Amino acid sequence: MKLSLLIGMAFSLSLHAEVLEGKIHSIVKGTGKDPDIIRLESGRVVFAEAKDANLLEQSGSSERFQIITDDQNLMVAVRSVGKSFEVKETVESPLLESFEPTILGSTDEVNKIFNRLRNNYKRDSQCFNRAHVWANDELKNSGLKSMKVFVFFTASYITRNRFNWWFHIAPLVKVQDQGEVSSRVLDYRYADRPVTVKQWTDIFVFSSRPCLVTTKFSDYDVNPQTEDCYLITTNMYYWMPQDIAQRDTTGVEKDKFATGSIESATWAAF
Amino acid sequence: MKNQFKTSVSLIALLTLTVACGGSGSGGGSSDKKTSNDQQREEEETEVAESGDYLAFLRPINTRVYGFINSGKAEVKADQNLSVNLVMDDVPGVTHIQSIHIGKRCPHKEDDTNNDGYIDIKEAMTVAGKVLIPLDDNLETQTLGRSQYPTGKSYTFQRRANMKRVMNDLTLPDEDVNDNVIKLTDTEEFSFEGRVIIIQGAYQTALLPSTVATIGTLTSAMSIPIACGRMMKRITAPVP
Repeated sequence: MKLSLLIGMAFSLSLHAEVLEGKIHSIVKGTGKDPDIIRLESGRVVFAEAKDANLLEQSGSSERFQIITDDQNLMVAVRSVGKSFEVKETVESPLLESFEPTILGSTDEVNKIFNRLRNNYKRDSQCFNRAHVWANDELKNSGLKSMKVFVFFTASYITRNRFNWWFHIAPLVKVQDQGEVSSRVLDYRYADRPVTVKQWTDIFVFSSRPCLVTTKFSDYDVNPQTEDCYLITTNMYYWMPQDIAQRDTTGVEKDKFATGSIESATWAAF
Repeated sequence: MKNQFKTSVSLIALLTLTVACGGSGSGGGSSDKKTSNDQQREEEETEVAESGDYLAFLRPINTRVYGFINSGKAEVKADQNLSVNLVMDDVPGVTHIQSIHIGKRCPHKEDDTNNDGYIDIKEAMTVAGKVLIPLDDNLETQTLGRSQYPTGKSYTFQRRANMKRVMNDLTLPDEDVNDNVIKLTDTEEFSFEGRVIIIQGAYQTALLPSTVATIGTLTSAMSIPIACGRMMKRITAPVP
């Protein structure tokens, strides 16, 4: 039975209401007086009173919702809009050899790659789609084996700052810089040049606290979240946080771009 | 997919095209009748900027000011007219001073010279330069149209002005060399390419330390930069 939820229809919408649509990834219960955090698969976060969030917990995992928020990003109304479209990826086989990222020879090379990133992204495009297309573009363009860097924002950070996202992703490249191999993040939308990982997270982490580096999604997902953020770096084939969680569960590493994911990301973001 | 729609009242006010041949409009009060000699002299004396189609991606600065990761895009077309189409995703209720600056670099964290964790407008202008064209309600002059800036959230700003009138104003003598607005001294080589656009303004209730400098009578919350983008000539080559 199609689940249809209508909450708070008596609410009058503020002038700055926002409507979000998508699947729910998970719900983080608020502590004390803090609202619950609804994490959408798009990376967006919506705050909700516990009683409202509880209703969503009963829905199916493939259910898509339309959520209306007020100017404080608090859910004021929600309705189910049906099942979501799933991208069918080919089943990946275990890697025979580990992924070795390309090490670029100079920061000039990094700058050139940055400057040719596709910039005709849609205004409401998602970071994971942009990053996926950018990585695939450069692989086809120059054979570059890049990586992805995921920053996950903890519930405490989200609540304290009324932050709108629970994760953000961008391509990451390795480069020889003054005799050492270092990393640069290529986030065309939010930085005007390649930046270090710390410079990149500082855009989004207002405390400028460094993010805890980990390899497992569960390290971010289940712990008390006293940090502000977590970082996970993967090879370029990882598209969304669910891919990391799946790898953690199955032990299978992604070793290629699935055709469905690139087409879907391109259509969605550009 | 995220599907946003805004119930906020749009603040778009598209100016009608001001006719280049001298119809009524800006300039307030002076006669529009020109002799052919006057017109010819005006054309000879006024050099227009290099034509071009420019794109600037507006990236966030000082995100810690109010905790929103803003971004936007500005399309600027310079030919017989100066046309600006600026789209900005931002928080609601904040008025944003926005300008094209004469400099060619957006400020970075290392430009926070007093290390207070904020790049204030004075620090920004050491690299971005002074204001060349305020993107307010009147693009033709630097002074008219002040205080008429757009208010967030997710606003679209569209204005157009006669380029000759814009350049005329930009080449007038600078009556106050100590303010944050600059005139051009030489238009022949002038191009919009590389110039930066800065968006300013945070919530009035933003708690900013006294180390965050401001200009004129603006509060530091009103003047603090929140986004910057560099105008690049639009590439017409197909994307991959």
